[in-house]
Amino acid sequence: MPAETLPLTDLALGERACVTELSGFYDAPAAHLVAVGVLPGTELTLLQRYPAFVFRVGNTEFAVDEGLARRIRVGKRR
Amino acid sequence: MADGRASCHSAGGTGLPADSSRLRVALVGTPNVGKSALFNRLTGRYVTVSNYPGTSVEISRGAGTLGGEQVEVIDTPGMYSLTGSSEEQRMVRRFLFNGGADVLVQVADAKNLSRMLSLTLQLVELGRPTVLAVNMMDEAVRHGIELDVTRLSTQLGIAVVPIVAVEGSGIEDLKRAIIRGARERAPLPPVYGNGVGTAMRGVGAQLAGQYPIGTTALAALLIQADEEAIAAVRRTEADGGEQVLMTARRLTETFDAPVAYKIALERQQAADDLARGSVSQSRPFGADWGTRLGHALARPSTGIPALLVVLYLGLYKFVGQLGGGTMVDWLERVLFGRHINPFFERLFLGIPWEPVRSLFVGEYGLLTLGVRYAVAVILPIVGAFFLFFSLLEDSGYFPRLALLVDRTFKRLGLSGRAVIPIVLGLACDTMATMVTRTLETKRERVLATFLLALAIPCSAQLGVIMALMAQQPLALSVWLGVVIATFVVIGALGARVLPGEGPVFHMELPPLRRPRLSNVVTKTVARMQWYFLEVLPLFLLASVFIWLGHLTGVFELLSRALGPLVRSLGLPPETATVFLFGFFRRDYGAAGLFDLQRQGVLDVVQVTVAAVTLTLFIPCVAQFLMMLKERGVRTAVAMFVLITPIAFGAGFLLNLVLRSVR
Repeated sequence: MPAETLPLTDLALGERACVTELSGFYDAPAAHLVAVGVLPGTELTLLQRYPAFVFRVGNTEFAVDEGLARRIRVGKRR
Repeated sequence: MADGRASCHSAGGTGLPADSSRLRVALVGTPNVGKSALFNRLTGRYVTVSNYPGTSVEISRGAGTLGGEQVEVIDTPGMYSLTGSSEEQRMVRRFLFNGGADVLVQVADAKNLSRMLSLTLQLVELGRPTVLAVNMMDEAVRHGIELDVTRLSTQLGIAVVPIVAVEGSGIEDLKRAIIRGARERAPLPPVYGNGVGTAMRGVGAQLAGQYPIGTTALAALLIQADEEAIAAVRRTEADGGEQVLMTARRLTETFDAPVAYKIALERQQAADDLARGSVSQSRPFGADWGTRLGHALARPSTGIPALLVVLYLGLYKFVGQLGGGTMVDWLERVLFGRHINPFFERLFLGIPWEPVRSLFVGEYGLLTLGVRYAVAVILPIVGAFFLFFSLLEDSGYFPRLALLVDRTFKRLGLSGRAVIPIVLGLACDTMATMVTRTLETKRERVLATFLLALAIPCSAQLGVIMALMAQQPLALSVWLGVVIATFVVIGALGARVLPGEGPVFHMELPPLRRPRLSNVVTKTVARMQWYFLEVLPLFLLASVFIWLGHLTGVFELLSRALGPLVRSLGLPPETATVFLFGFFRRDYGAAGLFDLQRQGVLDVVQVTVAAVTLTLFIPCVAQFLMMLKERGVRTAVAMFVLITPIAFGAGFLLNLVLRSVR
């Protein structure tokens, strides 16, 4: 069953999901996300939404602004 | 540094230098993994160690002894990949590509190894002897993480050594592994799948020349159309690289997504596979106190009150009252007033030539004023500030602060990341201007440099302003209001006027931890040392020029020329001297204002206007030199040309407003 995909900004707090795609150009911020290991197949948990989006990947927490968070598309676990 | 020896090394050779000079060992790794701590272990020299990603902004070198052999150890700023975009990341890349090191030691965080291994693969691609130092093993063990060192080492083809850099465990093993690594042949490049590997091999096979980096790394760059790599191939290949560049272009076109992205994904895939086989975690990361407190500090509802408490206790109580009040007072009145200055004055009593006496012990003498100001005013304030800053830095608070202010800073064209140089500017704007290197885009670096020069008063200025207006709380709040308003209004205008993309905020949040006393002391001492070595000599030099200017009458002419300008601000003509010399020598300007106030030449409005104008004007000649160095002549001069009318214009308007209100 194909999982629905949505931007990270639409996840609920505490929700876990898998990164499916980094949308937009492959620019410096996107390259940075890939370099720190946020890329398709990575599982993340959303921890905070305001004033920036905070999520956990593995044992590390990251903060990104709303613009970048929108570009991280995730698929919810069924 | 490209030191001419780069060409002695061919890719895939052993790491031993061709001549008998010292082995060069470079520490590389992502930010915040303990490179500087390991550097200190290996060399016994201090570099600033921090729990804030990206505060080492320079390549530092030190001497160490490995297995009885003298080696050069090189610490590099953190980087996530060899194709990063910030200035410091490009600096490391150039250093590595020029063959600046014989052995690479990647420092990695044991708790997040799978995220670190992609960089390991990139280093292995470079074809240089590489050792992986898995740091913070103690924290990993505490979190139930186990590491199969032998297996990982076999799969990567390099030595893997678990260490705890801050405690020094595993360091001897690491030293042995580095020496062994230098003697052995470089590791074989990793093999990637999914077209990327084929493309890299296809391009690599056509490279015939000798390069300072391995053919796999070079091939990867060529299919990403990297300009430096293309230039190197054009220079080196017999046919000017025509054939191999054509192959690379053709292969690039076969990918359906940006090839850099494809390669990054493929490397991460390989890294994940490696980690899966060698790292196991028996229980999920627990929510310890550090994690929970970290979350609280990052949420506005709890984080903003906490920020206010930190500012009140740290800045107001500790730096302001204890450092700037109690300590300055004691040092000035007792130590210098009763003991040191009288001693110097007696010492020079026998010198008959008055100008020489006045250079050293006069009213504005080098010793009686310059040294007194440095030791009694600057030292306690800057010292207290650096201590406070280092405590926050080591605890991991700054990334949370950056996150909290990000939305506000965006209005000024800055990302939350810029909060670090801005806060550091309150200690020393010159140092902060250098730290703007950690910002990601040129636009952000320019905006931050501009705001630092305009509206962030440094400790030396703060000390003077607090003292001038200590008895005038109303004047102090007017000053504060005007400076903050300028910061916000001019910042927002700057963000609108300067072309380019807005900033993007992304930042790793390292776990909050109890600051280590040794780290905090080391950092504070290193910063103070930098301050006193880089900034103060300039003031002392400038004071010699001022003295000469006095003798020859040149400065009198200049300050007379400035006279009409200060008069338009409603200030007495004597303040022209204060403005002119204050730029070159902080103490002179400060003392000048004090004297004018004491003599009753300045009323409260004039003190406020003078304080605002001095704050908004570029703090000192040292900072202007740093702006020239970091931003280039054109940008720095343009900023000077913009800031001068803003500073004097604000003073002019404030004078009008305050006079009419009265």
